[in-house]
Amino acid sequence: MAAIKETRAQRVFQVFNYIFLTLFGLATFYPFWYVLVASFNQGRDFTRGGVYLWPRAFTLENYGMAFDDDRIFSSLGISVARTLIGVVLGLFFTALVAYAVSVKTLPGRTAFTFFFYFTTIFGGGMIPYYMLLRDLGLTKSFWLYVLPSIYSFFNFLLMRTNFDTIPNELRESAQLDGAGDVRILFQIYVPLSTPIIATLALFIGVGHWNDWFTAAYYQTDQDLWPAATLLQRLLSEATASSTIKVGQETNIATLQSYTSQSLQMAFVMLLTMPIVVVYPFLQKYYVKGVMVGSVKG
Amino acid sequence: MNNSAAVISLEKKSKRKEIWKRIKEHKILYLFLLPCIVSLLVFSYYPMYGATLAFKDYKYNLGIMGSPWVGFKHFEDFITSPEFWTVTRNTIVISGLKIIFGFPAPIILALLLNEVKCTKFKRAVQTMSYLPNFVSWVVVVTLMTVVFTPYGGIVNDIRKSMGLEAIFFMGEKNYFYPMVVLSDIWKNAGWGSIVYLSALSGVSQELYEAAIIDGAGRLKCTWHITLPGIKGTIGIMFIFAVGGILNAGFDQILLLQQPANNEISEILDTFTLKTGLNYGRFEYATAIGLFKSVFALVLMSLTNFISQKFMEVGIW
Amino acid sequence: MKTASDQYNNEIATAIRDKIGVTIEFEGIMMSETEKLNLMFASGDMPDIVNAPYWGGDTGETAVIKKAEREGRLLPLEEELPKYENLKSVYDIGRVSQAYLDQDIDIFEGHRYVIPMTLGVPGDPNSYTNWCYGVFVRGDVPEALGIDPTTIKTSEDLYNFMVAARDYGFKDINGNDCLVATTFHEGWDYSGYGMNFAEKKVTSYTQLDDGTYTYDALTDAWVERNLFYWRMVNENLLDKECFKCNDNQANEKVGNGTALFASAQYSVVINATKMTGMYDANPEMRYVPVGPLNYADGSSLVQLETSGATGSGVIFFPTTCQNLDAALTWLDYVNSEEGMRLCSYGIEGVTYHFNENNQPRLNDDILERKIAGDTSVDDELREMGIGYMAQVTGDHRYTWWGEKAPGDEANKDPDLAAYEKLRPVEIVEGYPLSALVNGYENYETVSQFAFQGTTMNDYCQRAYFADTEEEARQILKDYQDYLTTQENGMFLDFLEYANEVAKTRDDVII
Repeated sequence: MAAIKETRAQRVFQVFNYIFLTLFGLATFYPFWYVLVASFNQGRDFTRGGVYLWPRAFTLENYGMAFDDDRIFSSLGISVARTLIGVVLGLFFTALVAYAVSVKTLPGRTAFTFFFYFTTIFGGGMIPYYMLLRDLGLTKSFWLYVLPSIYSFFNFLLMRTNFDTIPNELRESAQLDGAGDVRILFQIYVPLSTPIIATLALFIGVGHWNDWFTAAYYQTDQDLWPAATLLQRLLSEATASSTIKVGQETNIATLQSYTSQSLQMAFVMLLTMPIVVVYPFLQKYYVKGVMVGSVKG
Repeated sequence: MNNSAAVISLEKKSKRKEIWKRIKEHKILYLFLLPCIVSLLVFSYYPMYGATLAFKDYKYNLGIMGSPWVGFKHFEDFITSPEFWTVTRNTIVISGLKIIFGFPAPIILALLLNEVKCTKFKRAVQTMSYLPNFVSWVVVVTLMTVVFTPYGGIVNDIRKSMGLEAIFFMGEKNYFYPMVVLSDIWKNAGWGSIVYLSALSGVSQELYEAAIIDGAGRLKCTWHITLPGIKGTIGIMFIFAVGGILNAGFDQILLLQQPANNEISEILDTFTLKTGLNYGRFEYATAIGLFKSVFALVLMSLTNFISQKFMEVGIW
Repeated sequence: MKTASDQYNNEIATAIRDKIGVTIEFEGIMMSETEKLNLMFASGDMPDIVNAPYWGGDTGETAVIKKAEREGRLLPLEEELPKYENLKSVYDIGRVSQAYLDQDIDIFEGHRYVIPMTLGVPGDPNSYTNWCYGVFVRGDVPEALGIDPTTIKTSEDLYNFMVAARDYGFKDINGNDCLVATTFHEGWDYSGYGMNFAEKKVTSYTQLDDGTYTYDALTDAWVERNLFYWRMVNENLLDKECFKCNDNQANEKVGNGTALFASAQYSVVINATKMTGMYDANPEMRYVPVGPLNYADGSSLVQLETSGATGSGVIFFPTTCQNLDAALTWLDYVNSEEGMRLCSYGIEGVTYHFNENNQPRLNDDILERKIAGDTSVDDELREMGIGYMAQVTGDHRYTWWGEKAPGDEANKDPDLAAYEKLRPVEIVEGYPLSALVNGYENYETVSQFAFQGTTMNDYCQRAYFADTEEEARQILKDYQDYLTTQENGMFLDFLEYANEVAKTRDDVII
């Protein structure tokens, strides 16, 4: 930084900047803190209101209940598995494609890019897609989450742009040394691209972790639902129990200190925490992570 | 490729030979592309035959291919239906608002963060601002309901303690667009700024130093160095944003819909879902989907063209 | 629907298998039934047996299933069912109504594709479930205001009652401010507040003074009724969130006494207060019935039922079903007294015994836990296979056993029982006009813009949130205009047809 004395206006700006960013940070952070507090507070006590900053009646009961529920526990397992596998496969195959297209002498690379891009705009709709997945046996399979979503145009674009910044001479000189494309990609390009790889890992990972739609509409085996789908259903189901319309049986629940809300809060936290924990390990790569770039016209 | 009439066949032949040579040279690269091409053909291109549903009268027993053709009937039905204008207008208004307010938000956030010198503070704010991206809209809307409820929600409690009347923010028509835009910024600005921050880090420091020596102020630096430095990124992101203009944020809108705001909140995607899955009119839903795709393609191509012309960047 | 985690090896499934050699495994769905049916038929991905709602007409699930019937996707049953003792009478009049049979079942060239699972049994009023719908008020409210809730009979009474409650400044059990009136999920059932505007009838058609029939939504009474809801919303009487809330939120509002009035089924309201403990901790706050309100003509509110169902859940078999005989054998058995007893009460000696009247009753240890509100007992029974399998094609449970569900007799809420008498079931004979009008040549089109979807609901609820009464009135009028101008005024033509066709029978009811 140039050691120039800051003017008064600049100092004022700095002060306001810090204040504004602090407020923005708090605005995005506080709701999560609120959920965290609620998840550690007795549910019945929480409904009395007034719990904002710190649990009033601390309890681990909500988490205990959440873990007691087999469905929640196993759905988290599914989420972890699909995220890990999805990230590895996604990165590997995206790297292959991005590398190939970044080679400027490759005939047909523009055509391929458009071929790829076109899929982001046009689709056949849910029914033929569902029938396809069923015919491939994916609607009852874990691989439903991974196989169809390996390639994403946006991710491809990010990786390709990054590869574009690597000087072509590197590839050429490696070729003169007798290196094949596989070696060039994995021994030169990939090590030079750790930031973008870390970034994409997070993008793909977050995408998998948060995806509730695929399972909700295409997965027929509910035991294979990921946590995001389960949470979506728990939160958006209008009727708490389907027994209401079946008969008059007064289904007296035992007096509980937790409520459906406090359970949901714990579930939200269980779903948010893993990413929040993993994130700082990747953060250091981001400084130069994403370069959305372009083919110069 | 510029094949003028003057090119003689010999040259053509050698050119073709040359391309063949290049293709052979790169065969391993085509092998890299192969799984992607197969995957796209299977999962994206093959189901596209389903788009023909838009021109058919779908019968379960005849299947998609066997059902009789009805031409543009569903398109005509949609365009002449009373919902057409409301739904299209709402979609464009909501996306427009999001582009006007939501698109610059991450850029501004990135610029502001870029001015922060204390790394720890910067990291903290960044980390906090990413949090909302990690939860789905259903969680966000559930939280909003809790926070904004007129019955004991914190916002209305504050209003009441100031002697103001409680407002049903989530249901009142006048607050619908502000809530959509604000929640959109809240959820996406932090995450969106990642792209711009990294672009900013690529802007040469020497340019700044030179400018400061020339006596340029901060604002001037931002305007003449920073923004031009990241205009490529902005351009690409803008093309994507315009291409998505008809998406308008399906989950978010569906969840924020309330009886009072229905007239201004029904968008193409929510309407398609309702007609398709709920009423079983898949042909109609497909027709609307197709209408949307064509519209989006035209918009995006146009933006891409303009962007290539003026900002020298494009997607393809 | 929750099932036993092991559907093949539990006690009941084993007992049934020993008896008839068939086991059925259930797969619940966790998306809307219409969505699921649509996906299922459209993609051809179907199970062997499907149990789905079939409420008649051409809307929702029924429309999807009818399309499948018309296009030959289901197995015809008319020749199979007479072979089974407990299934041969499923189409009897009284169990199903003539209208249901004419309009929804016998419309496929002599084929019948669905087995109606109806609760009504001819000549047995006990077979109808009393749902106990109504408006309920927190017990201490009428006390404090000095109003006897049973004297509330008209909308004006109810309105004044609510205004008084609003202005009194009640607090809920946590000491927080109260709201006045709410409902359960998605506005279920705010129409209860406006019952005083309703006529005593079963369809959405009404007869004008000159004897002609018209559609409810085209009448002034309809506008007035909806303006009443507008007034409730506008004056902060009706919970603004109730149209989009879910049952969990509603349970909190009612269970904590935050909502002073609630409109739904009484059992649901009582349950909410039991869940929070308010029922026991603040017995003075237990919700009590308001009214019941009167109909517009001054007669007392009842639960009006047509003789024989006009719609029901149904069972059907896709053409992909490999083993229709086995499925019907199973269905026949679980609808017999023995089979249904097995599915509902379990195994004699283990979970139930016979009382002096030779009726099955749950064993005392189970019953005690049930009465104490211990829901884990239901889970245990379910794991044995009890409580989810019995299919009802004509409900004899009350006549057989003297109680509808196991434990009911000992566990019946006294308030609920009292309210059942206040709002009894009444059976009305005749042929509903709504079933007759299906014959209109463009019925599908009319039904698409008038009856299907949520258009009417959208307009109405938009009107409730209007700023002024004029604006609300205008929105309601816009809906009437929408109805009458669609497809070049087809709806008016449709009504003309309705009037013509009504003359062809002398037992038409509305």
